[in-house]
Amino acid sequence: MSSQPTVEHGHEEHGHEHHHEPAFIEKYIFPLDHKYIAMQYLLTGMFMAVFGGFFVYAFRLQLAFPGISVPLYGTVSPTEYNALVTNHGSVMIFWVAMPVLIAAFGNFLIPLMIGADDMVFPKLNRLSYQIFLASVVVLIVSWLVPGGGFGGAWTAYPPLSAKAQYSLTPLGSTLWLVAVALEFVAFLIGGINFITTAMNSRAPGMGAKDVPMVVWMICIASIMFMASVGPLIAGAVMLLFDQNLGTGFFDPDKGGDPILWQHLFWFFGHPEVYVVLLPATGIVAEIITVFSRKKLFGYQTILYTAIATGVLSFFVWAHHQFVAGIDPRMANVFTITTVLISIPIAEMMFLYIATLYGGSIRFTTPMLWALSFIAEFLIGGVTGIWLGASGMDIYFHDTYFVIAHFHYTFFPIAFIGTFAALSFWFPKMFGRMMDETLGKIHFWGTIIALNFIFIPLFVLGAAGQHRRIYNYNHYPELSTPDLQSLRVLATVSLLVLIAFQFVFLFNFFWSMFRGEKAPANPWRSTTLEWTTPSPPGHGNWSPNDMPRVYRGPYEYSVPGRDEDYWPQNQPS
Amino acid sequence: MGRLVRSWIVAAVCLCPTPALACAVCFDATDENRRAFLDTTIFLTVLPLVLIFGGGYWIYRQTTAPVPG
Amino acid sequence: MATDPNLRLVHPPPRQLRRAVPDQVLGVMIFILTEIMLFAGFISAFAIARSSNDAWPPPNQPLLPVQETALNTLALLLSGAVLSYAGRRFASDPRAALRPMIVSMLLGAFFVVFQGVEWVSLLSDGLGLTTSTHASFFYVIVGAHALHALGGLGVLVALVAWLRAGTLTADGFWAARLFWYFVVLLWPVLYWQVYLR
Ligand code: HEM
Ligand SMILES: [Cu+2]
Repeated sequence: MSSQPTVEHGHEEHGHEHHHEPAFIEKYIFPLDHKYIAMQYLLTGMFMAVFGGFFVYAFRLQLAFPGISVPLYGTVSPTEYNALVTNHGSVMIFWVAMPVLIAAFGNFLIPLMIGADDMVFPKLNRLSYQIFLASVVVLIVSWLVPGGGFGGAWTAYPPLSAKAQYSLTPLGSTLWLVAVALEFVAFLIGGINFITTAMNSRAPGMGAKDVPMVVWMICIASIMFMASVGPLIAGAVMLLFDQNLGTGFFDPDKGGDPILWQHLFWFFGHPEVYVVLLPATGIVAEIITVFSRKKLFGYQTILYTAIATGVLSFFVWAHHQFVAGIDPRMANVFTITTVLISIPIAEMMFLYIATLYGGSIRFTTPMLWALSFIAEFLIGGVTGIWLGASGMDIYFHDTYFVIAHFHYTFFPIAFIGTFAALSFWFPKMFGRMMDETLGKIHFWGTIIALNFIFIPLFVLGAAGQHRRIYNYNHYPELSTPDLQSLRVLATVSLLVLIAFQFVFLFNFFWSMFRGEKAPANPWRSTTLEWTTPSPPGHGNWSPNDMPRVYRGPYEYSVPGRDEDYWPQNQPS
Repeated sequence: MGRLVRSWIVAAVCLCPTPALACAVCFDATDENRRAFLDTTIFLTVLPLVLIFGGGYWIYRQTTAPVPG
Repeated sequence: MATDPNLRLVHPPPRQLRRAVPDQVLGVMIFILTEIMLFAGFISAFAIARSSNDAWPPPNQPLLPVQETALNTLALLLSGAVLSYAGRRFASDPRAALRPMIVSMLLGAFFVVFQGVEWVSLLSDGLGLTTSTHASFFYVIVGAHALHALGGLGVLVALVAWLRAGTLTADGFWAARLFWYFVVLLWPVLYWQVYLR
């Protein structure tokens, strides 16, 4: 952001208070502009990812080499191990995937892609980030208080999470819960903004079918988030009372019910996984059309599959509780719905593959990420169906098979999706290109290491390795040399994966200041965000030159035209 | 028998399993408690969908309604 | 959004988007969706706790004031009805909405104060937060609603101030009314679930 290309505003005579270039503090510290709020979310999310990565580094080394003194950390005690695992999971889901995929890209892309000058409620948008930042602060404080960070797993099942004498982290658990609650409030405010903006501020001419897929996906995801988070907030309030005020909502001794927490948690928890999935699939849709120069195959069908996924995701959550003593009738129903939900998701993936078919594919870095998303996510989705069969899940539940399953879904979403989006929209965000060679080195290093981490975990899980165990040497059947060597393989691959992230960080910051200057439309794409300068100025377009939309977002290789792309805003 | 009929029968049979008491997973507190979980499951699942689609339909009607005045 | 007055007519001519529902109203609708789900979570939890306890409410604790609260429920419903009337008056003559708005606000305030008095007497009768799960649920659920009612009252006060200053817009009023309707209509459901069952 060192150089702001001069942007033609041509609005002086308007005296439109909304459109003047704000001063430094207003612009970078308390911005109202959606693009700067997006940057804040992005950088905060990346900052948190460093913590999430450091935690997994520490506890994986403990698992591979029990009892070693981890470089930069020291020995990992059992309580610390629990806190590391818990906070790794919570940070990656709530403070990396959500802020980066939904908040950062939602904020950056929605107004630009629908041709609006900003969000409809810019002040709420700023408030949303500030609450999010407060949640970050509370979370970090929770790691530093006496007793250390919360160690009751990211799912926070009571009684472990409710009673200080079990979790041994009275302050840590409460602060963790408060941080999660604040984070939800931040995304509620953000989501209201996204949906309202996408409904009401679209450029003239932009009908429902002219909206780029990623905008649809972020909106559907936001609606799902809004509709599913309420019961969890209710549960969180009750848990907070149980922790601090002596109530017994989840305590059978006092007439409560610990399963009730799981009920409320997973009612949110499962829709949540699709909340993060959908934006990532939207990002992939944008990228594969641009780099195969083809129209998105089955735009409407993809939209319907996303809606079907959204609807069904409210019907499947008890598949996390097959072993919790739920009614077997319920288990059967949820097995059926869980298998059903893979139909729309699979269909969406097939439509993406059909989009690629016969296209002129260019393997740029964003495209490599997008393609690898499809490949890796498919592994996660397919193993999800196995877990959804309640009979099989009785064996697999709480083994490393589940861990491998959800990392094959979450890693593609949170990291592959983000890297795809960042390398694709980087020119628009920062006005410079990222380095392709470094990008490819980073890509291959990450993807290969990724599979070497999680395929061993599938094998370990199938061999019966239970999760949430501090030291497998205490379990003779699980500490055989061949199982231990798989653990070492996974851990070493993790170190490789982390090492390659430094390539990314270097590329990111170096390109931000030193990269090649980006033209307005480097990928020759059709959607509206590429019709503004890179990076766009305040207000995105000059007020008397706001874009108008004449056609759908994926008009590539239209026969009879000179150019192989036909931007949405060109009259003819 | 038609395929559809057969699959419905299978589905119906799935809905009435007998709990195997030796199985840790099949245990549940009381019938009433079971019912409560089932009922609230249905309630929590259906309510957001009704709200979303109801609201969506209302907004759709607003968009297509003739401009007043 | 800025519009270009010299729109070049081309084929197909882009139409200005029609805002079917004003921004604020849409925002509040989405917010209410979350709020309804929040209370759905509380009610579900309450129903599950009820099902796993034999005696509900536990026999050895003070009874909830069922009749008095029925009266209070009427006051709150009336407040919503009066606000709806204010909304209709506002459309023709904004000034005429002032009096029904104040009446609605006072009725709402009556509800909150009445609830507060009830809580004080329950507490002094020995029904504490941790007396039983039933009591815990009572205080959490009714307290959550009371917080919403207080928030709604704050909005009503602000509405009156804006109306006097002449800055109240029809859209803003519509959005605020929606929120108050939510607070009002939620209460009978909670009353039925918490007091009557
Ligand atoms: C076709 C789609 C999917 C199916 C059928 C599926 C099925 C399942 C099932 C049955 C489980 C429970 C396993 C157990 O605990 O015993 C599970 C766990 C999990 N899944 Fe999936 N899943 C799918 C997609 C996803 C996606 C897209 C994500 C993430 C974005 C995801 C994240 C998770 C997580 C985080 C867990 C474990 C939670 C925990 O216990 O800590 N899944 N999945
Ligand atoms: Cu799930």
